[in-house]
Amino acid sequence: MTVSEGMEGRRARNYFDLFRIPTGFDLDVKDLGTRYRTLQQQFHPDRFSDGSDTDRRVAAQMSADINAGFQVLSDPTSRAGFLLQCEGFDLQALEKQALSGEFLMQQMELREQLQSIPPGQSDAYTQLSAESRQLFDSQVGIFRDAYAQGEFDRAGTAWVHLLYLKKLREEVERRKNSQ
Amino acid sequence: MAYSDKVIDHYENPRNVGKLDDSDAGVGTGMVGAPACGDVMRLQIKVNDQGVIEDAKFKTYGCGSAIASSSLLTEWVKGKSVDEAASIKNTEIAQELSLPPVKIHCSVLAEDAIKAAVKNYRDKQGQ
Repeated sequence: MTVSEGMEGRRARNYFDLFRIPTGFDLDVKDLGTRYRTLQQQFHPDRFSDGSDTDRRVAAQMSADINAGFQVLSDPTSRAGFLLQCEGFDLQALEKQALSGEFLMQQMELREQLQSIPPGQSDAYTQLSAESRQLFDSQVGIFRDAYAQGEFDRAGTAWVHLLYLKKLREEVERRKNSQ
Repeated sequence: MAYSDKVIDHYENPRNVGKLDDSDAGVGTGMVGAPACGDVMRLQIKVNDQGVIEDAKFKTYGCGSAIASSSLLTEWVKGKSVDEAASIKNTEIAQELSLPPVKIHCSVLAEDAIKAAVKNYRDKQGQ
C-alpha cells in the first residue's frame, strides 16, 4: 500500500480535505466519526510496520493529522477557529481583540453566579447550565451567519465569545459533578 | 506546576477584593479577559482630586496567577498617581510573583486591566 497522499509532510493540513467533507461550519458529527474511524484504520501505523522508512513515517504523520483533525472538527468552537484560520486569520491576534464591556460584564456575572451556588443546589446548576448553553448556541448562530455572509470580523468576535462560553460551560459541568 | 509562595499568599489572602461605585466620577473601571483560559478580570481605581489613587478593588475569575497578579497590582497602585499606575509593566508583576513563562500572560492581563481602568477614569474626566 502506498501512502503518497500523505507526502506533504508537516505542512498544516486542511482537515476538511483530509476527511473529504465540504469546508463549512455545519457538518454531520456522526458522519465525521465514521470517516475518522475509516481513515484511522487505513493509516494505522501497525499496517506499515513492514513498509519502508518513508511509508512508516508518512503513516505516523497521517495518523497524527487524522487525530488532530478529528479533535478540531468535532468541536464547534475549534471548528469555527479553524475556518477563520483557513480564511487567513491569525487566531492569537483575534483573541487579543477588545471585547465589549457588556460581554465581559456578563461573563463576570455568570462566573459570580456559578461561584455562589450553595452546595447541594443541583437545580441552580441545571439552570446555569441551560443558560450558558443558550448563550453558546446563540453565538454559534451568529458565527454561522457571519461566516456564511463573509463577515469575518463579526465571525471572529463570535468565535472569541465562544471561547469564553465554552470555558464557562466546562466550569459549570465540572462544579456540578464535583459537588 | 508549582506556584511561588507569593502567588499562594495572594491567592489564599487576596487583597482588595470587591467593587467600587462605578457611577462615581472619580472611579475608573477596567474589564479585561483572556479568552484562551476564560479568565475575566475587573480592576477599579478611585482617584482623589489630587490625581492620586486612594483606593483600588478587583475581582478576578481565573487561575491563581491571575488572581495574584491583580491582587498585587491593587496593592501597588494605591498612593500612586494615575500616570504612575498606568506605567506599571507586566514584567514587574511577573518578577515580583516569580511567575513561570506559561503564566506570564496572567500578568499581561493585570497590566491591561490597570490601563483600561485609567483610560476609563480619564474618559470620565473628559481628559
